[in-house]
Amino acid sequence: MKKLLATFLNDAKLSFRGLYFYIEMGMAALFILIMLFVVPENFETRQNIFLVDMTPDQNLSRLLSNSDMQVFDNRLELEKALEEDRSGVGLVLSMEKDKLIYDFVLQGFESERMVETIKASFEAQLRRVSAGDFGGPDIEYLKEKTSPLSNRTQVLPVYLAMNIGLMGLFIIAAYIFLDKEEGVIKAYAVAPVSIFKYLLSKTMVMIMTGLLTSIPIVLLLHGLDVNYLFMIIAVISFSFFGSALGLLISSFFDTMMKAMGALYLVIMLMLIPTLSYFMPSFNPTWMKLLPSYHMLFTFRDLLVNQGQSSYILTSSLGLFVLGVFALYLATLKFKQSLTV
Amino acid sequence: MKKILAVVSRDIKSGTRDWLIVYLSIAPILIALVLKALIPSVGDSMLNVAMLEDTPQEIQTHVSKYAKIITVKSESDLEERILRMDEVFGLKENSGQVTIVAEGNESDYMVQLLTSVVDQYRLSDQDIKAEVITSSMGWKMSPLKLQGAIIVIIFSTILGGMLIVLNLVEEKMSNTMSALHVTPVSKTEIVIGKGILGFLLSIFGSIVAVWILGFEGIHYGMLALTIFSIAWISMIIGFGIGVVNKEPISAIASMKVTFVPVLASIFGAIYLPAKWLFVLYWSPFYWAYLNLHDILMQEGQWSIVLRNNGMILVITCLVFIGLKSRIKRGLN
Repeated sequence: MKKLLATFLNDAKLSFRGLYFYIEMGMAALFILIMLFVVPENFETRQNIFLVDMTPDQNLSRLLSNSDMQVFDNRLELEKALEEDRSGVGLVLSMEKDKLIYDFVLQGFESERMVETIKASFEAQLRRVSAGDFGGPDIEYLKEKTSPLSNRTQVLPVYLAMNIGLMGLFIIAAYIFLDKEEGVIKAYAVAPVSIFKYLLSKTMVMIMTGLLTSIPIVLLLHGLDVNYLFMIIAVISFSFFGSALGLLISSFFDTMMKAMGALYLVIMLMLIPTLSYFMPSFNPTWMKLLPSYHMLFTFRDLLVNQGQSSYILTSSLGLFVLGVFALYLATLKFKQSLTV
Repeated sequence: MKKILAVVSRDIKSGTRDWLIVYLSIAPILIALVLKALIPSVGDSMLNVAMLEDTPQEIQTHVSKYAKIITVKSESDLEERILRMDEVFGLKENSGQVTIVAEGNESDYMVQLLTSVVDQYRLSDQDIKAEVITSSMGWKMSPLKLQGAIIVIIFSTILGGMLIVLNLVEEKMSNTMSALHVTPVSKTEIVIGKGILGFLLSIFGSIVAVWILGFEGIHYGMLALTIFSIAWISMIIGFGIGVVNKEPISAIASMKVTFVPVLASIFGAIYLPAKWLFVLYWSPFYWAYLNLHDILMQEGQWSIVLRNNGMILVITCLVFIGLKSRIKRGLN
């Protein structure tokens, strides 16, 4: 334990002397400044709606003349507007016998289910008006209803997972290969410190950097409304996992340049769950096999539910165990390759 | 020219020996393939609804028109399914009465959508004296494909810069940079030689990604010109970082810092209201975004494309003037 602590203190001292630590701190400060002063609390995602009223009395277009909806004289003009704004939606109103026809002009990339849902949400409203029934079905909430994260806070879990869990892969590999290049490894061959402790000490440096760069960010951007004990546990666990995985991948290569490509591909793979994170309804089972999925949702859960969920502890423990396994394998592999 | 080609072939040799060039070349291809595979399923995903196996078939058929259905055996299974991390709602039916079950962290918009789906069933007897139909403009390109492609193209050019960074750092660590100085190759030839590979990698990655994602009918001339312009700024950034850093740790961390203005420019261009877009005028990636957006949407006009490329090149020149002496010193 003493030897591990001494190795860690030595590594930490060296990292404080290097440029990397200060770049990370600078990056955290830059992120905070951008989030606080540039990024709005919620992004503007207004969808333009274009209307053509072909009904004889044109009541609706008169009613909507002062709204945000843009009213056109004919369908051709509406289609031209839709060609210019590919995120816009058109609505053409006409009468057929005694029936009012609502024709939603969509762009064409919408899936069949999406088209049906758009129709249903409008038809349902007409049915509610017709029946005078605005109560809707009963809704049962299994947990206390929470307000969703603002757009700004929603970015935070992605930054944390990327910065703590994934970038550690690159950095720890760079540490190891740099030590190898500079002959530090040779020194360890005659020092009374095992390879395992040497590698563990490196992961501890990454955890320290992770904690120092993430906790202030959460504190400044989200305030005290977070269970910081759980947050620290999650950061330690994910940072440890990321570093151990980085070590395991690096153990298969003999230079940083060779390891770089593999590390890059793993990071790209780990980025895929951001799709599910931003679109929670897209959630195939295979996605949950990627560790970054659990990093993202754990951080989200910490920010939304203030750390009440058992998921946080389960995923932290799960990734920590995987990290231990990866570190064990990396140690075995490095014992063969990280020699003088 | 011969000397420049010698620098290029040396970098190709060391890059392929380390597999770095291979990895960096296939990275945009892989990302484009993953995007292409995922786009249809992402586009189809709106609502996921779990219900008991014995829910009346009529309700199951109705809901399946709008949502993906997951059937479970018991009420406890239903609750367990809803409480998982993904967004799955539940529906319970009791004597014709349908109840929505939600976890509590879903967005109001999604709850409203499912409410409409249920009301559509619940109030189906109501005559609305109207008909709701849809028609299509025939535009098949999803916003996800468009934005995904723009991000892949811009990051492909960054990869070219990354190759330069890693090559320079490796040269410094193995002391081969000083060896290059005693050869008859000038500093300018070293810069051009090292830049060419990164440049080609940027153009290759971008064009292949566009081809894989299936953008038909776009103006390849405009696209090539835009990629050519962004590749310049990535090269300058690559040299700027490569000459300052002596070891890979700080080089990688510095490269990571460049992602901030890149991502800020892309997401700023997507989400910022028009009156705030001027805050992005300093970023070449913002002008690149505008060009790529118009070109991939088949709305590119030469006058606009040339203006935006001009902005990219002017900013690149200013960055180069600022870094010129540092790059020169760093190559010593």
